[in-house]
Amino acid sequence: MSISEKVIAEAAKQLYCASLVELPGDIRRRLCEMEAAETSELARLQLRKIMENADIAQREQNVICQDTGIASYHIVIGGHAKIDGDIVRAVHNGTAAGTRELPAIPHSVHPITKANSGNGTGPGTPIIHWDVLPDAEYLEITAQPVGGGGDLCSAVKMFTGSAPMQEVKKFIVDTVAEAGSKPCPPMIIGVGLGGMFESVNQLAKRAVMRPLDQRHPDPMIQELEEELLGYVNALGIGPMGLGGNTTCLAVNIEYSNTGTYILPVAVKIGCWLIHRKTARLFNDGTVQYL
Amino acid sequence: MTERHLTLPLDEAAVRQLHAGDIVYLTGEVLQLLGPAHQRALSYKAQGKAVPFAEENIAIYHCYTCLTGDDSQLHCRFMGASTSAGVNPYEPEFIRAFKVRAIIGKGGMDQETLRAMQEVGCVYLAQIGGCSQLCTKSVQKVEGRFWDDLAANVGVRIRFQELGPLIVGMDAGGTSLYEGVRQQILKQQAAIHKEIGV
Repeated sequence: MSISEKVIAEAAKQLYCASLVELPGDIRRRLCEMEAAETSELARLQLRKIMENADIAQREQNVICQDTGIASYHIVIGGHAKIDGDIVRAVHNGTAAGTRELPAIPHSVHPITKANSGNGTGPGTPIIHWDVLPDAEYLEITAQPVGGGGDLCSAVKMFTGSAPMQEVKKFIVDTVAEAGSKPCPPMIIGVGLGGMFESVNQLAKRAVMRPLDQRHPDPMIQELEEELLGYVNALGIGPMGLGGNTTCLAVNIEYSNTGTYILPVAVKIGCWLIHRKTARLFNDGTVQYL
Repeated sequence: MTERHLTLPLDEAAVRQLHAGDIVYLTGEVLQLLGPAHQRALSYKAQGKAVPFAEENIAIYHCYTCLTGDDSQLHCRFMGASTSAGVNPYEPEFIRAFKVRAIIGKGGMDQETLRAMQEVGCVYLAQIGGCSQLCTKSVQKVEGRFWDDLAANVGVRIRFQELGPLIVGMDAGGTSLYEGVRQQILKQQAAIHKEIGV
């Protein structure tokens, strides 16, 4: 009894496609709440159309957004999961199959020559993040493809360890202000705080992936999330940068300890559409889509 | 919010009647044209070479299209606007060279582009970003494509029926909703800095 490479590839394909078609429920609920609270008529029209568009995508089993982005996966290996085959190859094959069958626009290109592989995969793409869960008896895969608009506006800054928190808050607010209309607001913002250069971007990615209705368990971080959300919504960027109260759906923060002399901060700007779809694969070959 | 249903091609007089904040629905042929296609069209024009589209009163779309089928019968699986800021460096010259009447995109364009729009008589129409299906369902026919070698940045002639809602984000009178919001952001940003204590 094991999880075969074929089962992993099929799950990766299904997850990739579903993540481009289905709007996560928590995002939909937040859009709906913010539409009700929005005072600009133009902003409300846009928020209603965003939800209507997601309904059509679901019904037609077609993409929500044309920017199908670069494929990315978060893979959690359970300590008791028995894997038969090459997970990385399976995920590459699943992505290529999904790109062809959905279809998605293949965006994976060489960074210098711009040569397009034509199937959405290539060296280092899909991007894969790994975790281990010692007690789990399953392999958990989350498809989390990422579009270009938000990443273009994302930023990382290395502060010294003596930098006051006010400077960090200013950097986050200024990054959002600078992004303005470009990343398809209302945005979803993930902040990475601490670690070192090599890990702070991963913290920000993890933060942006957290469902909007889950606050950070640490009250101090929770308070900071709420404070920053208040600031960025006060900027008045509004949906698509055309003005309004709805600039940001959530600010999520993840932190880790850092050095005494340094404070890395990463601000991952997401558009209103964070793609995420998860499944658990069990040793008996069954796949449970969450 | 004034709602207008317009048929392409638009002439200068029609464009000058549109105002920032109006809601527009478009019917007719639009060209998918991104940065690389702008560069090529401008270099052809400079060399006196013909381009595969009308040389005036055109409507262009900063978008990506997922096409299936072959050139005899192209089908649009989905499409939608891309961030217009990337086209800023080429747009003012392009608007003047090809008498562009409407640019569809998302996120708005810079002040240089706004000046060219004002001078020639052109509007910027904002698609609601990320709403691929709202645009795709308005595609009546894919008329053809050109400059295939530009891969995803290929030129595409697309006929729409009631493409919208599009928001007039920048008008030919020189009003830009984006610029208004930008000024507001700067003001708010200063107030927030003060509140943070920096």
